[in-house]
Amino acid sequence: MSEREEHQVVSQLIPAYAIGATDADETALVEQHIRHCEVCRALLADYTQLSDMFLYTVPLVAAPATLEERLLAQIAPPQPSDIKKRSRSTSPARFLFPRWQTWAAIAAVVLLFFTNAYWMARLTRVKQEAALQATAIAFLADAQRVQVTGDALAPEAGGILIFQPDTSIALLHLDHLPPLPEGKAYQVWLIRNGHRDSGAVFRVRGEKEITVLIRAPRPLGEYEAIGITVEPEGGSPRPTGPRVIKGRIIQQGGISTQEKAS
Amino acid sequence: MRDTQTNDILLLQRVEKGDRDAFRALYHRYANAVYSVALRVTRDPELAEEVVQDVFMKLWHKHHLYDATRGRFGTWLLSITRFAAIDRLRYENRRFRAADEEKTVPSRVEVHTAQADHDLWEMGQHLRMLVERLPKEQRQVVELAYFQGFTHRELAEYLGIPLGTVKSRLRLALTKLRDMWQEGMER
Repeated sequence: MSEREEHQVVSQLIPAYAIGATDADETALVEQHIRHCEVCRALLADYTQLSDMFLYTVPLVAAPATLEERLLAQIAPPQPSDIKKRSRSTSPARFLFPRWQTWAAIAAVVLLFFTNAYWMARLTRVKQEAALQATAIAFLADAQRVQVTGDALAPEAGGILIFQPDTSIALLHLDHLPPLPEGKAYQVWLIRNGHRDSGAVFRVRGEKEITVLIRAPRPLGEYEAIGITVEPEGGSPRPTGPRVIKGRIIQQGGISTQEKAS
Repeated sequence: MRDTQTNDILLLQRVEKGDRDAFRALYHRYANAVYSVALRVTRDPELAEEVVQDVFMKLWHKHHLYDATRGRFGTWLLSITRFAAIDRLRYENRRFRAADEEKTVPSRVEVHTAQADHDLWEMGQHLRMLVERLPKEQRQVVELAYFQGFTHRELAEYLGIPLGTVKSRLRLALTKLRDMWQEGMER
């Protein structure tokens, strides 16, 4: 293709390129051509402006009121002023520990209980216990938190997942999970690229709240979502029963694979 | 009095330091707009909410991705919302379904004024009217390409028409819109 032909082809592709509608081969051609063609760059600037304006053509609707609280729960620890502002009547069961510090302290105790029980069976030296406790406290201090919510089968259920993206263990604090019949158990799944890894299998015997220690095959930061299903006691190699809990694990490393924003 | 863009930059600088109040202020300013774009793309309120959460979490953790020399903050935020929503549809293999649901958008309370960038929203409504004036076939390819992320080949496959027809239809529609738009702006 001569330069003139290429220019003609590309200038016809630019409107579609500006809104992201070109196929891969066309995109490559446009991007290669505009490096040295000022005319096409100016044309692209025109159409990019039009493309940006399309964003403002959508009908403006109100975002759900609950979204803000869910979002703020996912970022840094709430400040005292936030706690005063938050209505306690909206979902008391889900926020039994409104102060993060209190919650973290209780979670630390629960974690230490589990980890101590685990290690006490194998290790007897006091120094090792102290090291483990220090690790647990450090884990909680630097951890990220995401909220999980109940599905149709357990609408009252919910909780918080506490994790560090670069480690493969996490704490999942849950409340209002319904007890299961004999022979059934809850199984935690960690989801990555459509693949589900088992994180834990546990039972609920009527307690309103439970903290589950999750052990994943990969660092938690590599997973996109978490879910809990009802499975036969002992767990399944892959989910077979209904889902009762779901949540998205938001990674610090981006969400969109395309960074084409202006 | 400072304009929206300047205020946004100042808030963003505070977000960089972990200031939750600044983050909340940006949320209040843009939540409805971000949700509206996400809903327009996904046609699914639940999925749109997830997109909004993803976008604002990205803003919290990766605010440095915004480059003020390349445009307004609000436009950047809506633009990453559009791509995030299209990515979610792609990931869940639901773009064709979303396209089919063109006429079944769940009813929501329509907000009549934006919290920021009022001038852009007003101009957007003007562009919306221009889009409405396009012939139905041209409007369809523009909307599928822009809001569902369809490429030329995907449009041809989805609509069952030749690739060449898709390309010329889309080009014609966008050229017409640009001309009408520029004409309107010059008045």
